[in-house]
Amino acid sequence: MKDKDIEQLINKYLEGETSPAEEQKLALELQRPDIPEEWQAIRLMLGELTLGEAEYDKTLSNSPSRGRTHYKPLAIEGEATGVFRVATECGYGPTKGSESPFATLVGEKVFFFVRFISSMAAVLLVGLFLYQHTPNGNVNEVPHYYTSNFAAGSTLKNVYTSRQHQEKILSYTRFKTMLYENK
Amino acid sequence: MTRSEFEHIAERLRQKVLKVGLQFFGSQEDAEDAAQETIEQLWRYCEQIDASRNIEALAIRVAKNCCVSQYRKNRPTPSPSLYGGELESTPQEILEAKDTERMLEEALDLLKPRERQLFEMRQLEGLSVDEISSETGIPKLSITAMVSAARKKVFIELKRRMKQ
Repeated sequence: MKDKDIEQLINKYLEGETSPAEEQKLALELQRPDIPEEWQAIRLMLGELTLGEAEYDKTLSNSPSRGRTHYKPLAIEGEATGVFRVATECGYGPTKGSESPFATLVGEKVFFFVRFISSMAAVLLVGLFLYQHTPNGNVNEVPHYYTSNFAAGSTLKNVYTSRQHQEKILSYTRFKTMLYENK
Repeated sequence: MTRSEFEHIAERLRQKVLKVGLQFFGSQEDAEDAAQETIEQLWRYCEQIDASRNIEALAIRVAKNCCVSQYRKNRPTPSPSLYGGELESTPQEILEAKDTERMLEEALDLLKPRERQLFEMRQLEGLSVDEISSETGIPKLSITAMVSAARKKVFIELKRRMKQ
């Protein structure tokens, strides 16, 4: 922030028009060494509490992982999320307290590796599920009763009555099958 | 506020400040230490706190300060201030700090009671004009005017004393 901006903010402060956030910003700016005497008076008026609060917010915003455990959302729920959460809880996720850039880099690599593996596992599980639940036989084969009754020369009435008849046969067949199975 | 009045609300305050610590540190142990320190400081000064004031807002601000202090102490390489400085204050610095504190206190004594109340609500409790208005029932424009008058008086007095 330039001196001119600080001066404007001080004037706004003296007019009682600054918000608490602006006062925090001003308190941080006035921590510079060798500030004019007038600014020192404002620093004194803002007080330690405003400065402390400003530093608290600044520290929190500078380290996003500080203060809470982040679980990055995954598109696939279930097993993959479970694996990912376990990995995160075991310390393979984004590190909370590590300040060293090397540790952070290694942590991030492990984190992305675990995320990749868990995503692949989820895809495989979905594939396995679909494979298990695919009906046997040729899925492209359409049963005869679903085929169209349109033929050269047939009228709409013919088609309708023919389909009604086929439906009756089909219902009867199903009923018989059920009876047979329940025996 | 008397000590016994403070004791009644201490546990509720502790829960509030513990949340501030947890949000900052992410660890129960550090948050407990910061909460303990906050309650100790409030206990030390509770007799100077007006019982009708918003003590929760003050407690949260003090807790944030305690978190920052503890964070600085725990860091392997101390950087106590954003613009440098030493972690441990020298006797000279302690004396200067006491002197400026006294100077500010004397400047605040020049304010009318209402002005002082509003000044402290903004500076100590960190309340916004809206919050002060809803607490006191004073219109926002009047609050802004009174806070401005109070700040200007304190500012002029501080400047005068600094020049002496």
